[in-house]
Amino acid sequence: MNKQRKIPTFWRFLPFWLPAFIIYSLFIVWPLLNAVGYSLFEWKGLQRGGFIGLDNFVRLLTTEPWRSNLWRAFKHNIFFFIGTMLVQNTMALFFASILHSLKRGRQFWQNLFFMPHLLATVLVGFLWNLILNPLFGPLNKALKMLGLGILAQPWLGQPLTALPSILVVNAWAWMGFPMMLFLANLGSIPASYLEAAELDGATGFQIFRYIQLPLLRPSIIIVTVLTFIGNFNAFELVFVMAGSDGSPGGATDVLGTFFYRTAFGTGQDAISMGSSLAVIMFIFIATSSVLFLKLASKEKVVYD
Amino acid sequence: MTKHKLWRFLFYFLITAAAIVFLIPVYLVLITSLKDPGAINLNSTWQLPKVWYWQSFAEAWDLLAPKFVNSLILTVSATLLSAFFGSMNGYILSKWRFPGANIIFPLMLFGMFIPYQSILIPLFKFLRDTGLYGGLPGLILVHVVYGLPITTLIFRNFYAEIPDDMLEAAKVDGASFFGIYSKIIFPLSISGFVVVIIWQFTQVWNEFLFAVVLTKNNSQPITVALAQLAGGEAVKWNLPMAGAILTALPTLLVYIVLGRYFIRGLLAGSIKG
Repeated sequence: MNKQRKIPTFWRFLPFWLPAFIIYSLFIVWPLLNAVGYSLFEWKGLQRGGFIGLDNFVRLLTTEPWRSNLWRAFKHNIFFFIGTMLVQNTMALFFASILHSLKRGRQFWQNLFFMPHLLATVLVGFLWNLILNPLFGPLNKALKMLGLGILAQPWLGQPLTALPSILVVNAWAWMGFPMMLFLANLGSIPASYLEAAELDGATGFQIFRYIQLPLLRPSIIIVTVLTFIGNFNAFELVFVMAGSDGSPGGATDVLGTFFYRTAFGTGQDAISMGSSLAVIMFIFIATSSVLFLKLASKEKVVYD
Repeated sequence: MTKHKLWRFLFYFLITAAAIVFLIPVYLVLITSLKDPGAINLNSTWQLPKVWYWQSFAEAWDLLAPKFVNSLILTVSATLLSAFFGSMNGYILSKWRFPGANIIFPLMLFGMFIPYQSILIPLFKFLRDTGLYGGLPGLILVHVVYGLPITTLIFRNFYAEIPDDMLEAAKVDGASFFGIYSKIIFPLSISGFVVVIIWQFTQVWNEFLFAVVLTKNNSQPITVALAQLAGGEAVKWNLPMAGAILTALPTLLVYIVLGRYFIRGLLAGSIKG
């Protein structure tokens, strides 16, 4: 004990965080710096050419077809993010507040809504591909059985419905997680607040709007950031449901599939263009998340 | 009071309707996996199988068993390692405020904001150069490292709730760094471990992008094999459906065993930021 005291704290703790720090740097920081490095060179296949500065970025942002592909994918990601906030997270909040008010059986419903979250994305995509199939899919069949045959669509086959369909499937698969976070947050609000409001004659909706919703701020912030990061990383579900070429006609192409096609495709410039795209995606996601967290954490919720 | 009852009825109606939407796909998977391939057609999609056909499970298991084992090794090791290191990091960062902690913690969180795609090409090259490409150890390492930011964050928030006085008392009694960890911190963080284990287990088990890029044939995890099984156009539905059920079993099992502690753990840790 005495001997330990004499070593300055910095050195004393070095053995505990240094190994983690080194591994972390090797696997996260180093590849990231490398991606930046790759993006500044000319590449022919796996052969590195000369240093060309920002030429790859200029090419990606100003020449066709790169420019319009990038913008299209970017717009689809924005659509996906806003749509997910509106569909998935609003539903999650709605069901969380309903489940929270239940006196019995909450665990059962909770497990039920959380279940799809436990399934592999590959599996979810495959399953819904079958359900949405225009020829033999049960969804169109069910619509016809209900007399709504007019609504039967080639859901994934036409540009207008392809991305929204994937969005809904994604919401189906993920709603459980934000719902759990909201439920946990609702559980942390002192019951005395709600009782006081009830005594004052507040309606259920007023209690939700003026007491619970403001106090849900911490989980809403986390859910928003996780949704943002998740959606700009979106790849697996789109890849499984629509392939990597954004079919039909690029209607489902997001940054994730655009990157996959570019970086692991057959183009001679795969590494230079792929890395440039990766760097742009990283800068965009990191700065927006940090900005949002900075803005959001200005005021803190205090319960007492 | 009647108004109150009306609301209650409406609530139950809504969650029941939602529950049906959530269960229909599961129903379809179950019945299709149990049908004779010859009996699968559009007109009987919604009907229960006339003859229960268990053969598909045996066939799917034969195809997927080696990949299932790969996934099990991958997921169990990556989950336990990232949970353990995350809890050590959280302990050091929340209770042993040393100089530099304020730089290291944000730097670790930074890892959460990195899109996997951004580092995929260099990571692939790095693993190839170090001989880790293609096998399970490389993929385990990648999942441990990419799990650390979230596990560290959860544990750090979790440990912030443990009163410092408790640790001071133990220090006065002569407990060492590891003594305090194993006697006080670890037993108090069981529900934190539950959250982290459920989260990491489902993440790693279900992950596809790293798996498909960083492993070769024999070491592929089950998601990659399932994607191949389901990918062909001419496949009979029963086989991938049975494979889908087999693939989902481990995560369901983890949730069934640990799920009841999940909300409690979330409450204690991750929603404070």
